[in-house]
Amino acid sequence: MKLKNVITMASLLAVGVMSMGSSCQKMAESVGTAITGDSRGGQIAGAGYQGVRKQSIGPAEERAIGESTAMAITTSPGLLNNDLLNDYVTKVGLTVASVAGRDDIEFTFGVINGSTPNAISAPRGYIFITEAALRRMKDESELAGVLGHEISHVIRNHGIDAVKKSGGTDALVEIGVAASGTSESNPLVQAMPKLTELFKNMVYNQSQEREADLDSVRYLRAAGYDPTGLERFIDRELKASGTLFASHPANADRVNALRAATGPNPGGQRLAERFAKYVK
Amino acid sequence: MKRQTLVLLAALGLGAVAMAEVLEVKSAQVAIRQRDSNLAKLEATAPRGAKLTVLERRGNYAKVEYQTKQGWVKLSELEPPKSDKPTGIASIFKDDNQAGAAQESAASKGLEKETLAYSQSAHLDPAPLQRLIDRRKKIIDSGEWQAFADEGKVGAR
Repeated sequence: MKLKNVITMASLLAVGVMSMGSSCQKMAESVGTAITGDSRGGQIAGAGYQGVRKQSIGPAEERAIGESTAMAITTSPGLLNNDLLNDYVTKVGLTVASVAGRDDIEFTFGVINGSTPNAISAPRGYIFITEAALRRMKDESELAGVLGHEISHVIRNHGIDAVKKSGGTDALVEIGVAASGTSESNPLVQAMPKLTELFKNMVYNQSQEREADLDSVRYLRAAGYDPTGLERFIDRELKASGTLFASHPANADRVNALRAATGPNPGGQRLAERFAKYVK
Repeated sequence: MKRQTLVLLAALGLGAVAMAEVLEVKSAQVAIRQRDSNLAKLEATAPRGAKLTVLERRGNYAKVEYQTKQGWVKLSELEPPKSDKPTGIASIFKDDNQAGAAQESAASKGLEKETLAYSQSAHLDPAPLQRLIDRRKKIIDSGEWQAFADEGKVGAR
């Protein structure tokens, strides 16, 4: 596998967390205040930045950030122009979501253009998988496993938390300056380019990845799928990438943790034939 | 004595009928589904202000009767009929409901205003996302998802 492919796959497989984490952290810092609306927002406004408004993140803001990120993703790299495949992924995703215990989140799934395997989630349940990832899978339980992993990131608010925890640099200053003289400007809309870019390129830490892995196993088991779906897909992709095991031993631990969670002969549906009908 | 008992029973019966719980739709439109799940096939819809008779409660859902249809509705989308609402302390309750209704109403209208503003400022096309959302809704409401899950013997049972 080419190096570029390996790096792109990082968000899905949590490979290279350390190397990509710093840039992600930097970007998160630059928008952190915009979405946490911490107390310095008031101080900045008091210091004379006209047009700066405190912006806290509630369900409506999360929904707007999720939607905007989804809109940015479906624009570029772009939603795959294949209703049959999008509908299939939606149905598999809803099947996993049906046992995830969050009836209040309207999970929405889609296939995006991309020649490298990847999956992306955005707040309030927007989940995308690249066509390349789909075509590397062997059966429906593998797809369910990857979607379950992303569903967990959404339910556990991993993305929003990563941005909130980053705190740091005051993007409100930047946003406030940009909005000065246009008091009607909405800081959230002003911050949207950075926020959507952040979520499009989100890299979770290893602890978050493992939480999402274990949740996925739990969802698959509850939904009646073979719970080894995610483990088989990750294991195969890591092996295909050659030296990744040697340079990132944490990945071997990750597969082992998945294996321990599923146990021997877990049973469940793989639905390889149905998968092959849609993913040709 | 027998006659008195019958009269008493009849009175109790009437009382029971009179006490059937009725809730009102507070969002722009509510989905009445075949099961207590937001993924269940759509049975009917009811507009804001429609009065639904509650037959049963289960978790966050109520089984209701509306016109000739029966099905399940999220309790968060219902509220006591306006005339039944208490005053005073209940104003907090009222405010909560209004906030909830506003949120639901916004949700049912489609994309958030910030999303649409961002689509204009960044020249992003919201159509592909809207199409994905619309197709998802159709898959659920038509019962297509339920049939898919049943065929594969997967999903919430």
